[in-house]
Amino acid sequence: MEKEKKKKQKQKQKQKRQFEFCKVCKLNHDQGRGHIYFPNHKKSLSSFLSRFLSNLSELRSFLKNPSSLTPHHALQNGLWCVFCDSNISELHSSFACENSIKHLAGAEHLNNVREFLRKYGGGMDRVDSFRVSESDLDKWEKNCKSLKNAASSSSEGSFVHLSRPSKDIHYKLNSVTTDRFEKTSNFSFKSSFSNSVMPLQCNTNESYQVSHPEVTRVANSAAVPYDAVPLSMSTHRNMDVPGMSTIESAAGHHTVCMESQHACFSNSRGSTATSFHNDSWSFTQIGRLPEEPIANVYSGAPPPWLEMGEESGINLGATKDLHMNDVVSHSDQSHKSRKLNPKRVGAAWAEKRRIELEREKRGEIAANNCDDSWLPNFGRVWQAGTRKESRKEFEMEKQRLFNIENTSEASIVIQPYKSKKAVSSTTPKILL
Amino acid sequence: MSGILLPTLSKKKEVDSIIRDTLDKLLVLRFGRPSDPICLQLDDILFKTSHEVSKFAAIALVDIDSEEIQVYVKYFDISLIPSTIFFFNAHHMKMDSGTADHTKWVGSFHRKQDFIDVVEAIYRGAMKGKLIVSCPLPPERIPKFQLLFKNL
Repeated sequence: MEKEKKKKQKQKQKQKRQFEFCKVCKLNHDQGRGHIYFPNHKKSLSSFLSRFLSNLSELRSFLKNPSSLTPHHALQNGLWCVFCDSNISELHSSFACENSIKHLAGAEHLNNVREFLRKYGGGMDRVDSFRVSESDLDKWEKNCKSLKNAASSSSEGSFVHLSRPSKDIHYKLNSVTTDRFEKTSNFSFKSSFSNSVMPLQCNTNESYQVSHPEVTRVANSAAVPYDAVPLSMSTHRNMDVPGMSTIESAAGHHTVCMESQHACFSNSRGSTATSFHNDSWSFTQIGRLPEEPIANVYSGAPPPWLEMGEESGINLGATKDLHMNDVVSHSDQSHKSRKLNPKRVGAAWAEKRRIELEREKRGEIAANNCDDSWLPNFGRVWQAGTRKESRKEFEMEKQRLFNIENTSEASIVIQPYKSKKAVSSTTPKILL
Repeated sequence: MSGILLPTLSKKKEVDSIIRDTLDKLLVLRFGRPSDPICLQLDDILFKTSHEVSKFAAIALVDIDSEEIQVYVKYFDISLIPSTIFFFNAHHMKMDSGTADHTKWVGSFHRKQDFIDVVEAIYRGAMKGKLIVSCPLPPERIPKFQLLFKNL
């Protein structure tokens, strides 16, 4: 009786359990607290948290080196806090990730993180990794203050530059280069424009002058002068330093590692590359620089894919055709070979022939290059044995027929009748 | 009519290329001449069904009177017209229809569906790797003929 009672109680408990939603696994379950110990949950939890941590890693770099934020970038930036289920936009923040950092340091966020970790597991000892500690916040605020002061004390031109919407659409590159800064060389940025003035961002507008008094290099001197290239080209180009060599000016003011130069070159084709033409530059030029300013989208020129002469138009048509054919045959091939039975009749032959046809289309081999004597395999009516044999037999037959015809033709050589008298009369003449 | 609408081959090279270039589809070659009444009947059936079987079969007519085709006529042992020969990936497909000749279909079909059935049976057999299939038609709808051994 007692056992039955227990069973009933258990059943009741089971029925009472309500479905709840696990936002880590993104599923509804009625497993109660036990759910968080399931391996699937653990797996998705770890990926869930690591995703958020990777989002935070960028933020932490800004926490160490605060930098100003252009309004242009403010739109793109933002953080989704998985613990508070809220989006933190950076719309009205003057420093990078300002709002996010403040949110992560807040008490509400801390409570939410604790609640989350209690509910979904993951270890309460990890709370600190998902938030910004108060000491960090204090440091960051101090840095920000000093930045602001520095910015206000520096020349007004820099503010002009800052307020300008930059043409940089490669924001990702920006963050990558900042990461590289941290890794490769020890730079301390006190300037407000240290991070915002990136190679691609530099305005090609030539009207402003900037000096960079606040940026100092913590000497890590190995191969610096050679590796050093100017961070913002247009700035340096417009500086009135007549006697100064570029390397010096670069090392003295603003340096970046060589990699970022690569990045700059590879990404800049039009405006920045052309603006790079200056007598004072003596670096080896990686990447191609156009000799003449090429008409580009800014000068209203048609895009290269729309420019075509008569010839190129024809070529384009032909290549397009070819391409289409290729695509069709390719997709056909992949589609069919996936679908068809590999053991079907003549599968190997079909594959071989398809490749041949494709090459013929491309003009690599001549079309219809088969022999005139080519014959398909054919099982003949009275033939026992393989189908190849029937072809051999047929060829033998043909040969025999040909021989017979030849011999019969040779045997019947029609000669004009010559009388014996005529023969006898002609021979002595010859003898004489 | 059907002779105009279906491709008609009169050169060996054309037959070669159509056999070689028809990939993963059943090739139906009809050997005959358009003046023959049974041939016309078969052509009519072939033309009417050509669209219905177009996804897995290609149909072509071969003019048996052409000079260049004679080599194929001899090679395929065509002694009666119309004769229909099936190829798949340049391999000859045979069909056991209870007649003396397994290598080709001699004569016409009674109706369109018979031809579709035959083509489908051969195609399915070929896709399974079989070089010879048995005829799906009942014997009363298979045209009868007699072969003489090596034309003796």
